Amino acid sequence: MGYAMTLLPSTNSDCQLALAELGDLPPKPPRSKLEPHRELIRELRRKGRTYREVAHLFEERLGLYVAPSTLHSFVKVRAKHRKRTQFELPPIQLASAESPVLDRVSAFKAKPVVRTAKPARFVFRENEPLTLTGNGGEQ
Amino acid sequence: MTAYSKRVVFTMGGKGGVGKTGVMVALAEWFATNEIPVTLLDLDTENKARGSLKHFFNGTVTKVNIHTPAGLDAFVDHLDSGTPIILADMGAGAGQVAADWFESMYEDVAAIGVRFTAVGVVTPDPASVESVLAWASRLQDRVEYVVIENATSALADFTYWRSTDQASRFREAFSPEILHMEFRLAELENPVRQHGIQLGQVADRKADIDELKRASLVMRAQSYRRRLFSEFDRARKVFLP
Repeated sequence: MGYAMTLLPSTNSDCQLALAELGDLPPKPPRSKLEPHRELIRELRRKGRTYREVAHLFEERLGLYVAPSTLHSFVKVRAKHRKRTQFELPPIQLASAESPVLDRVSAFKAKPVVRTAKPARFVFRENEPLTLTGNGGEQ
Repeated sequence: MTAYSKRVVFTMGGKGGVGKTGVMVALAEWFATNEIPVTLLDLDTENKARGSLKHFFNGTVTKVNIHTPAGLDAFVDHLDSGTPIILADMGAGAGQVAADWFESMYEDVAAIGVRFTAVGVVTPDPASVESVLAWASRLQDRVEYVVIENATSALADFTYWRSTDQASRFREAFSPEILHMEFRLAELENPVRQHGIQLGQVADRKADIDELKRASLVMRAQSYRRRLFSEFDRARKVFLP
């Protein structure tokens, strides 16, 4: 009884300390015997093979007996994990929103360029001779 | 809105011997008669002594070499420290320098209230017309234009200026002030150029040259001056800030 009392945290600070220690624990390695064949299973599923067919192929070619329902659970659990990992990635917009410099760069790039050169109102081609108009010699 | 307070009046150099310097000398006299101080700049890098602006106004004319990287920056410096009006006599062949300077400096100089008047001189020679049109093609509407019809003979024919397609398009585009400078008798014009005497000095009997003291020449000088000043009066808005 006294032993159990010393193991359980008694105060809030003890609880927080214990939680922090638990958070530092390394992830547990996968235990499924299918783990080495994960890519092969995904490939076969992509090619339209049923779980039953995959199970049959594994038994026939690899000598590995596995139930179709186990294959189904294996695939579903990893698919769920992959989705969660994708959702956890920080969105790109948030990254740029956090950087005012990038915002200023974007705004500057979007700013229209002001044209300073005006179109010529009069053009004289120096290599062309003067052309007399119809009323030549008018004074 | 820019408040214009300064003016640079310059000749469109190009064709030599059309009377650019003569026009500038007359303009300087016109300003002096109206008691408006101006800064005279001689930008004619050929550096000819006789017939240059400096020859007529020795001591009051600043010689400027525009064939440097700074080009026509002298305009800015003299306007900053001197009178609000500059008269600048450009030599032949200054077109590219002027065009380059206007291309790079005009916007900023205009922003501080400086306006420009380009004075072109045409004669019966078509090359003089082409020279003015070539300058205008480079300067566009960054300047206001004055074109002086310089009658180099008693029966001067300005067909190439008045009746060619290109000159007509120039007039339509920029509505230049067109002034007439009448033919001057050789017995007045030649000694005036030879000795660097201003027309007004002859008209006011202040020329210390015997051949220019003749009564008929004095009266001629008075007559030429009156009519030319009358032309300048007509276009005074493009000569003043």
